Amino acid sequence: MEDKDLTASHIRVDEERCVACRECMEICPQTRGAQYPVYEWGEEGMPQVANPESCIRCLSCELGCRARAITVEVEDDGSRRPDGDPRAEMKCRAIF
Amino acid sequence: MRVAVLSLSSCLGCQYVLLSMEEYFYTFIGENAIPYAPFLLDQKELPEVDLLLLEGTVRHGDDFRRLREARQKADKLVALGTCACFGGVPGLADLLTEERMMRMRYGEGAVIEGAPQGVKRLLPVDAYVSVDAFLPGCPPPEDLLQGFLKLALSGTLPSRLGATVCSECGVTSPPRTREGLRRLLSSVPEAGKCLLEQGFICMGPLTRDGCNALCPSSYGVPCGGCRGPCDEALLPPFQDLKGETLRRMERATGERKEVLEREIKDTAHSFFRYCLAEPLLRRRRPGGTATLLRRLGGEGRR
Ligand code: SF4
Ligand code: SF4
Ligand code: SF4
Ligand code: SF4
Repeated sequence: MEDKDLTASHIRVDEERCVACRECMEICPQTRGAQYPVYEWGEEGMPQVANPESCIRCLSCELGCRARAITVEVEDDGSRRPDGDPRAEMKCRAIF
Repeated sequence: MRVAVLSLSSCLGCQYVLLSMEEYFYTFIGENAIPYAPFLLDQKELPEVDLLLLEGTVRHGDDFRRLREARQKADKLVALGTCACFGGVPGLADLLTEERMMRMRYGEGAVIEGAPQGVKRLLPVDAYVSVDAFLPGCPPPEDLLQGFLKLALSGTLPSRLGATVCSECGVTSPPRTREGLRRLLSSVPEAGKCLLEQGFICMGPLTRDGCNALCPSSYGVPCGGCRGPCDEALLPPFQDLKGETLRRMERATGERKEVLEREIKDTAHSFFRYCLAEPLLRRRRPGGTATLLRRLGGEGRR
């Protein structure tokens, strides 16, 4: 069996983008009031991924982050977003 | 390349950015043939071109005819500016009747002889013809337009994976003061701190990046949303600029949504200043466009 590093996080927070609004910590169903919260407030005033194993990959934080600072890696990349309107998808692909 | 610039109903601000690019503008006109550009040349007919930069949107029948002609003559059509991409400021005209607008601007009983018939609903240009690329911004920032043109003229029409204005914003979040809804007219925001968290209506979380968060970061003014809605705002499950902003403001101000809604005097200008005409943002509202406009305080047109 391949060794898997359980402490390696599949959640990345881009600190350049983050504006420290703390919304991710409030949105995440596995953080607020949780015994092993996914996010904890770090000393540099940014969210830190404290317990990635608690994450249920609901993508709430990724979608809710106002600064698009969070990426949650999920195995099936195709399910990241619910199906959009074809016109919306096309428009989003062509915008600069 | 043969490049032309055409305006439908617009303020001409987007064309002006072309001129204000200074040095690059000379390179641009030096390296490309510009057979049609009403602000530069006395040329009445639009010839066939490789790239057409189209500014403004369809406000009346004449615009529609010119747009259709432009589509036929252009190999690649670029919607330049938020008017063309999302309807922009002219989209707000949907809130008023044609008569009311004439009365407000020109006085009681004014008529313009031979004026073309206005459209029933304002829509962005891609609702009428196919568009190959969009460059929103009111007007688009100079460096962005320059970057876009450089790529477009080398042959590929570029697009970029959009984030939000917040992702470029240089502020930090203050501890919540929970002072309720605040306005620039009556209170001064603390510099360098997130304006939304201070209780101002900032559209940054839902607005496409690319302007370097000019307003909130450099001037301490909330983002009005001039770059248009970001990808997420155009796709499900969001598509709700007002609801998403109010949700964040509830957290920031400690007020209930109903209280905030009562305090916000002009919902349309606050949340939909640049994109009221975008059908993607109307479709999912219960009751459709007419109900949405009525709820925003509109009179309904014809
Ligand atoms: S929601 Fe995004 S911007 Fe806000 S604190 Fe979390 S990572 Fe930072
Ligand atoms: S997008 Fe803005 S600057 Fe460009 S034509 Fe429309 S109103 Fe003017
Ligand atoms: S000031 Fe506006 S743009 Fe900047 S982080 Fe706050 S909400 Fe986002
Ligand atoms: S901060 Fe908002 S209103 Fe200001 S230039 Fe950028 S997108 Fe436009």
